[in-house]
Amino acid sequence: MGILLALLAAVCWGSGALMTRKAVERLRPTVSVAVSVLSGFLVVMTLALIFHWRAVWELPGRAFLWFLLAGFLNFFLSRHLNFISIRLAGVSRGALLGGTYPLFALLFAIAFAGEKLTVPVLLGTLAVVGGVALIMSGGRR
Amino acid sequence: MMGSSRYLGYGAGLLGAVVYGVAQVVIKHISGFSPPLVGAAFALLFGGGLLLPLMLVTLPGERQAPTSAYWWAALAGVVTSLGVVFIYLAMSKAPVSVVSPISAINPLVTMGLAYLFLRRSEGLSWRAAAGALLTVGGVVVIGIFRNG
Repeated sequence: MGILLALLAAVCWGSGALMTRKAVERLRPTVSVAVSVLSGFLVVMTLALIFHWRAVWELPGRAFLWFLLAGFLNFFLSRHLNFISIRLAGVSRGALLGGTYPLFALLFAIAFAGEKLTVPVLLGTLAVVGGVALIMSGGRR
Repeated sequence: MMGSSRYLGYGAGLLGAVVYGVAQVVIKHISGFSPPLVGAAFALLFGGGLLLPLMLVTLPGERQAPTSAYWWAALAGVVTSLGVVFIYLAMSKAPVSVVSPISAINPLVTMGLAYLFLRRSEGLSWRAAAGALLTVGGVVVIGIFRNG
């Protein structure tokens, strides 16, 4: 069941990128990302209120500062840049470059949280770097 | 598309991934005091609130844009958010070491769909396809061995 749900998530994100491409073809990324974030908010907040009604009302005050930071990084900056990338580089390359984030999360964990780099993870890292280099080295759009 | 625009697009994509990588630290911290769905809802609210003024400033220049473009953007937001909901549900049923690599294949789904529906504007060279497989393979390996 977990595998099926993870596959469904991949299909949603994969097709969501294609819909983004259809939007940014005719609409600036700034407007597209705002519309997508606000429509996503309606869906997720509805589900949050259904499944976690009590938790929503019992959040500590400091939580909202963290939500603000997450909203700024995740949606104002990251999704915005992803939409710009999809508009300028195409959806295949834009989605793929956005999908390299685990590499950067790993680098931050090594630099600031003392995470150890193992041989398989190093090989995975080299594969990502090599793959990105291949993607950026040309070919038609 | 001009070559320089394409490279700007590459830069924006990589920078977006860097920022999302940093955001993972914040998201992990939030999961300590809030259910992930609630955290995602409020992050979307604040993100939308920050984007709204920018949208209102940009909107007058978008008079030529067809209504369908707005609908595509809204649909993208809904579908992407459903992806977030599915991933949280998946993590409640299976370990991260299983869920994370599977969900990492999403760029391949995008490429497959783009090949089917946008072949004229999104043609891919063999080099880009090989790069995609190598990148996703690397992300899957990182997901398995970091979370395993």
